[in-house]
Amino acid sequence: METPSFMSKQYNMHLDFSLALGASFTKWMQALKEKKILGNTCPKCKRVFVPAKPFCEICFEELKDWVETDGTGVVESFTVTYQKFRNCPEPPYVVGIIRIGNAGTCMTHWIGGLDYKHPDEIPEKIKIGMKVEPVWKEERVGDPLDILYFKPVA
Amino acid sequence: MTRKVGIVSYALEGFQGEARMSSDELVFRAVNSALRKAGVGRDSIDAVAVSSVDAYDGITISNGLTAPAAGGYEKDATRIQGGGIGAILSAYASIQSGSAELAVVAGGDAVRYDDAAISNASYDVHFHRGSGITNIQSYGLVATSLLKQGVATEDDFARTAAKNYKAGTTNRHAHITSGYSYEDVSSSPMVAWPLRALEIAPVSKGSAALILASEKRAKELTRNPLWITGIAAGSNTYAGSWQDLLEMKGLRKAISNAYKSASIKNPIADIDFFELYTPASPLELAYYEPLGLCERGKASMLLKNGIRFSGREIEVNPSGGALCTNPGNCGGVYRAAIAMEYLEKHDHARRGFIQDSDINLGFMGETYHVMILEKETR
Repeated sequence: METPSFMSKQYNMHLDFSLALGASFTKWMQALKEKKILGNTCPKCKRVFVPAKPFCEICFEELKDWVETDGTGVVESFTVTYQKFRNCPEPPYVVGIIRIGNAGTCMTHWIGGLDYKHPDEIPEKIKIGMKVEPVWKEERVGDPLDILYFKPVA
Repeated sequence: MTRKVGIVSYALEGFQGEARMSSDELVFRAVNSALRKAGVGRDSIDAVAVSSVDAYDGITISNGLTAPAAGGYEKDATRIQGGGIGAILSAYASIQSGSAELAVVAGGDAVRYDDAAISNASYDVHFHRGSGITNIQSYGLVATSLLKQGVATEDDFARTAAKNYKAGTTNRHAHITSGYSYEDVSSSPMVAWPLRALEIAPVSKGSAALILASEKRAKELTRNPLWITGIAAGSNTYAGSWQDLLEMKGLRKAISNAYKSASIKNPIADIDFFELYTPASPLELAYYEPLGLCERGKASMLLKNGIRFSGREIEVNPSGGALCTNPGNCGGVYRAAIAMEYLEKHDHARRGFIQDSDINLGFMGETYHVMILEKETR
């Protein structure tokens, strides 16, 4: 039997974690159960954060004031995924950068409600600046994936 | 008082294919080779900075193995995650502070892993990870914005990739030396529109080491030290506005600080070549303007015409860049070593610019590092 000149060791890691979400993230997540997308505001620069954050990275101020948006947003950018990635949805799917209401920040979520029969044509169906609205799950648990996707506003 | 810090030796190991040894063995080989080239032993080293990302090593504290392999036993050993120039900055600071005269910077990539899955796990679990975003999609999102802004076209993305692949054919250390043409790139499968497979960097295996020295030690060890005349870093917001991300303020800040430190007024006149970390070809076009190589929105024109000053061509990624060689742990160290080799081989070249970042894990909250290396002025 031939002796290999080098070997490889196969292995993997399955680890469990639990992240404490804190008051700001918790309030934002809980509102999703009620089909509400909240934002919080920097007391100094007045920028609205959607999703909420505990602090403004630029002014370095705590964010304590809340606003409720109407949930609609605009597409700031998008990419159409055609390849399967581990732990990610079945392709094709569209990852969008969506700015909700007058927020100064963006959410990353899926853009759906499109005809996916001709995958090559998907990029032509989405426009930067296009207005979108959330499509909610029937049963919500307080998670961004309570929103199934954002669809173009009719 | 500012001390001069030089790089007196470098070594590169592997990169052409799969790793046949572990990260620590790869790191040992590169460091041992760099020390021998400098004519010093491990006992002469005061500080060691290892560049690594635990996930890329498949272990929860990768420098436990690699710091000793870099000569770190009983030394001031530090591990920096987030790009090799960050590790160079750590060693540079040790020498600047006077706590070290000679320092090793090293990194190695040996473990085979799922690059996109590790990237997805680098995003926060509460907002972003579930959306199926990876480094690839994040590059795609930036590329879409470049199209929308009129900075570049899909054709430009393919031409930029082909330019890098052509350059990679002359790099003896490169992982990809196939020299893919524009036609190859533009007909490769669409992965994350508008990005095609050959517009995205591979994952490369190998190791790189540098020996940094104080001015006094550098002049004792070599007649041709290369001086670090500018080195700086800058971070962006995490999930701020999309415009913030596109503006790359962290990169701009790092560039402006490094240019100021190296007294660079006009980068096209003052810098001979640029080695950029562009793991997707559109990013090279996105960086031209912040680097001062063109006006806003003119990257496409620069690609077509080339960058010239006084009849000479200023090369961007003469090594073929990350599309040809992309080791996740030691990328910045590799690029610094490649820049040293370029300066050694090209008499006309006096000054090189090297850029690095942690965007191999994807855009968002990214940190950029830049460095300017130059020959001794005679």
